[in-house]
Amino acid sequence: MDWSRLFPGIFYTLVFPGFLFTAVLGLWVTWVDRRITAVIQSRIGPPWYQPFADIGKLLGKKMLVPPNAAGFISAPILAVTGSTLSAVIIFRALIDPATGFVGDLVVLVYLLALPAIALIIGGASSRSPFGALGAGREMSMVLAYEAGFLLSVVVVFVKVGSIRLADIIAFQELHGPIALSVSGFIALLVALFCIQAKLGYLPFDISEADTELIGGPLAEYSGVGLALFKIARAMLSLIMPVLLVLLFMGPVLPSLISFLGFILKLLVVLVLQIVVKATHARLRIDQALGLLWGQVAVVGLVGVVFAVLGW
Amino acid sequence: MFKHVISELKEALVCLEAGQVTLKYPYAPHSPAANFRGKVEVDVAHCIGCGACANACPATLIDIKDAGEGRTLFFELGRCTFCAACRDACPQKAITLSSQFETATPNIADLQIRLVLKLVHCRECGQVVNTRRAVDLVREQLGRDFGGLAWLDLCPDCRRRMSLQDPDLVLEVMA
Amino acid sequence: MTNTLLDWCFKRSIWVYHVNAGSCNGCDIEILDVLTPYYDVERFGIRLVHTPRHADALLVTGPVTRQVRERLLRLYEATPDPKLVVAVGSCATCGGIWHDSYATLGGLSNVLPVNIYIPGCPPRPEAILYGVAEALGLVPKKVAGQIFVEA
Repeated sequence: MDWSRLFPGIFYTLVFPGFLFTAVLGLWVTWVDRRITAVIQSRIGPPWYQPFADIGKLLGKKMLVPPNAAGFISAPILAVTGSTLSAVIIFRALIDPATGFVGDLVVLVYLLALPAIALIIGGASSRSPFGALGAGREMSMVLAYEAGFLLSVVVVFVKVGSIRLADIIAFQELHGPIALSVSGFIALLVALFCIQAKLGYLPFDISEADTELIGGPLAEYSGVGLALFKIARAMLSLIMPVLLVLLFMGPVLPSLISFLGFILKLLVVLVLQIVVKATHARLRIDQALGLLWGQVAVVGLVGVVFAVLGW
Repeated sequence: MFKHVISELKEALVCLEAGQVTLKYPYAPHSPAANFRGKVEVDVAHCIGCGACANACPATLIDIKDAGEGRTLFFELGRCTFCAACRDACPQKAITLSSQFETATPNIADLQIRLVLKLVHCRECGQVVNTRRAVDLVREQLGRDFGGLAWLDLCPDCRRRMSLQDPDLVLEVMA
Repeated sequence: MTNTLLDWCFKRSIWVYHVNAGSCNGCDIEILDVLTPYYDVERFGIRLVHTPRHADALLVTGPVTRQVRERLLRLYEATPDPKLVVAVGSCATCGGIWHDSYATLGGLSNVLPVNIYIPGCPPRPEAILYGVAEALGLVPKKVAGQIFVEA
């Protein structure tokens, strides 16, 4: 048992850059989301401590659990686990590239699918028709957006020739941002669509629709379970734009200019996502599937072909 | 699909034109219009207990009971629909509807008004004639001294009987 | 310490669930008005949710009709503690015009334990906002009963 590596490992996972750091920053990102939405809706919006007050309040409420519900309590824990581990991998690759391993991008893609699967498990074990319906729709959406997302990751893999995050950053250091090539630009657009769906943002939030499905898989959750799901969602809303910037928009070097550039690119991606979220109506499940399989995935395939051809 | 995205983003710019439309309400008081009908206020100095308001109220929230020495008027304002029929019916203009609209309370008793007015009983048979204030009002309105207006504290039945026994009573009034 | 922290969080983040217990929809429209950008209740942490499991406060309108009574009790039990029950409108406060009707139960206090009453027919959006703030202890009560006995 190598104690000298266990304790730092626990620290990295639970505090920085793992659970605590990503949760706090992720909740701050949800505040930015609500403020920008408020500006678009001509009103003021909540104060900076609002997401933390929401989570604190949820932790103080009683959690009502349906009887004989097997996956009900473990689903939120699964969601937070997936988000935390993905955060550790991405941020450690950003801070200290030497700590990556071959194939960590693939592991990352699998881990990022865990929160959606947790939602499906939670919804299916809610013993409520809204939960079951929401779980079914989330299943369809996962199949739809994962296809496009994987195709854009394949484009990156083809161009770089390696599936290690550190290698991708090094490649961009030598050859400039991947988004500046034709296939890279196409892959970036495809990834933007798919990440909008992955985060459950409008226009793709049919599985968690408040007005249509009473919250879908989250309908029966209350108290701690709901708080954990919301924290997992907040962490994802930070991790996904960071991943997008890392994969497509250039290297992040340990210099101040590069770091500020990274923050700027992150903000641009965030603002784009939030503005699209605040101005679009919800797509029906068949419209969303038709869009993501019929158009976005096809464009992704074209991007892969271009990448193989060297463009 | 792209055209749709671009048009929606243009819509976002249009929304920004309106600026911020939020009212200052909790941080600055809101004063409603001049004829706003808010909480019912009863001027206890002018009410004569006639019961016209109880007759007019559509929610039947005004309860008038005579008991012993007093007439109790009980307003259950939790039921009020702010129609102002009571204000229009009151002959003494004792009821007004203020502009108070912040009337939330955890206790319904805060929305109740109870008035107890002294009664005048018939000096012959002891039945209730009216409230003292109503009798005083009649005396004041008639103005002249009809032999002390001694019939004012008789109930209507006794007044009829007394006017048969004492015709001067009738002639006085008709003069 | 955790108690004061949780109290602070509860005061700053209230998720409301709206229940129509036989109302004419006047009070429902005023509740909708409160949730528009003119009054911007998100500043105070108030948010409309669509399931009682996520709710902290139940905004109930209407004198409770006989048919809705059982559903209202189930909604109350489905809401996790701690919770507030707010009676919005004159009908929910004391039964309104329907207080002596055969089809209603004469107001919300006959069915659920009520935390605050907001009279009005319908109450202004400002009055609803004031009532919710008063239920949280943020503003003082402005009405008091009046008793006058002639000497």
